[in-house]
Amino acid sequence: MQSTPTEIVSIILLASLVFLLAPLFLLLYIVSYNKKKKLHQQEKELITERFESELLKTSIEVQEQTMQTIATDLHDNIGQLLSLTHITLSSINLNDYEKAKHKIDHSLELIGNSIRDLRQLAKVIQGEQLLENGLSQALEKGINWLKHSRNYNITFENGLKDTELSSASKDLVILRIFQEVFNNIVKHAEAGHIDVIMELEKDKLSIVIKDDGKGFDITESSSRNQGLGLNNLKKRSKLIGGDMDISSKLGKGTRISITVPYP
Amino acid sequence: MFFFNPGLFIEFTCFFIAFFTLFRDRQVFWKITIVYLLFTCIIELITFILLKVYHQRTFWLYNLYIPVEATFITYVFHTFLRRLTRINHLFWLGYGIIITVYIIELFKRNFGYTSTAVSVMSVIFVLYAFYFYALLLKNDEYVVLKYYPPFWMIAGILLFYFGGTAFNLIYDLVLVKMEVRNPLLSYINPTLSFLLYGFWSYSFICRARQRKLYR
Ligand SMILES: Nc1ncnc2c1ncn2[C@@H]1O[C@H](COP(=O)(O)OP(=O)(O)O)[C@@H](O)[C@H]1O
Ligand SMILES: [Mg+2]
Repeated sequence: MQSTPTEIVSIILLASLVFLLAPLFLLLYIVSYNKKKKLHQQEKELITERFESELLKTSIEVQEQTMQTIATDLHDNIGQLLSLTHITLSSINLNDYEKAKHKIDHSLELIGNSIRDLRQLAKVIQGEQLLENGLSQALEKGINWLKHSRNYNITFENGLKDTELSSASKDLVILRIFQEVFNNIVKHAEAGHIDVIMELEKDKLSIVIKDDGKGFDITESSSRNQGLGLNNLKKRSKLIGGDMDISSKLGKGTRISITVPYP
Repeated sequence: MFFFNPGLFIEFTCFFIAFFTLFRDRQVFWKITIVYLLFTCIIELITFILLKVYHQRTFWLYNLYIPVEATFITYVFHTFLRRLTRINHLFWLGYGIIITVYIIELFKRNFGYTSTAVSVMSVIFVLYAFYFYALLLKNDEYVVLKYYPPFWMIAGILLFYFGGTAFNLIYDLVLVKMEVRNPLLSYINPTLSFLLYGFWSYSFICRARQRKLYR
């Protein structure tokens, strides 16, 4: 080696300095990264906060919706039946035995129907504690009720039937999505047949709801800035980390599919 | 006269700071830290006296100190990493390697200075420190690093052993053979000590602050 000792010493000092600076830079990097983590954390908190408020809103909406359906049903179905019974009974002429018997039988049938409807309705109201028995049961009840009260032909493949899986926060949102979709079908579709398929596979719940109604123009309805319900559907699916897809053909019907990580 | 030795001065300062900030701490870890620092100071003091007064070389004292150091620093990492990961066998492996190398070298060198064991130990501790910081980065939970005692304590360890390893390697490779002597070089070890015990002192202060906040 040709270098003089002083040169070597300065090289050593320099090397030592570098070896001290390297970990210092590492520490600096960690501190700055940590700051980013803080920002990220704050963002996350904001998102959960939003999620919770949205959830609260949803749960209130679910309640309101249920009340509305109950009111409608009381008025349209049971109210109708009872007033029909009333008319029938008040038109009875006791002297005409044959006719009276016929009318009384008819009234009995009407009252039987009212009782049946009331029972169905009671089930739906009970269903308000709805999700207590799980999403699957709540949907089952709702669909049954729709079947009987509005005379739809509904098929329901329930992939959650034999599982104990549930997700307290997601179930409510999913139920709300179902309600909005069915609401739309009742309100707009003029359908006779509804297919509902719910499947759970590899932690993904996929839901498809098809009707054979009149369909609509998706682009038009969204550009009309009318589709509050549909927009809400999209928002809700995103809220629980899912994807939603709507397709509709005029005169053919509408198909809505949602995929959500579950539970 | 004693305290003109910078190494001694730094160690005693750190010990006193530890004593006054930690002696009321309920966690065993911090109590052991005080004891360890006291032990360090005593060893350093004896070494100093033997060297200055009796002009004796004191490798045997350092050799006595090394297993204690290895045990304590391993314990530090074990304590802090336990909060971030479940891997605990790692420490037994590292500890086993250090102690094995130490014992072999002790007999091979006929109880001379166990420099290889020190190098091995340093490398292992540096790796632990990297592992600690990697886990800290990965951890989702946000902590205020400015006041996070483990961050500073391990920062001291990282600087001390990383810088120390580099210096010792160069020293062994080059300087010993060439018999270079330069007063500047004698500043390196005190600088490393200063960083180690400085960061530790700060982490003790953070710990005291933490204790006050959560009381
Ligand atoms: N299943 C459906 N069948 C036919 N038309 C539908 C269906 N669902 C939605 N639409 C159409 O899309 C529009 C937007 O729906 P939506 O956003 O739910 O708003 P709203 O139900 O309040 O009218 C509706 O006005 C309707 O014309
Ligand atoms: Mg709607």
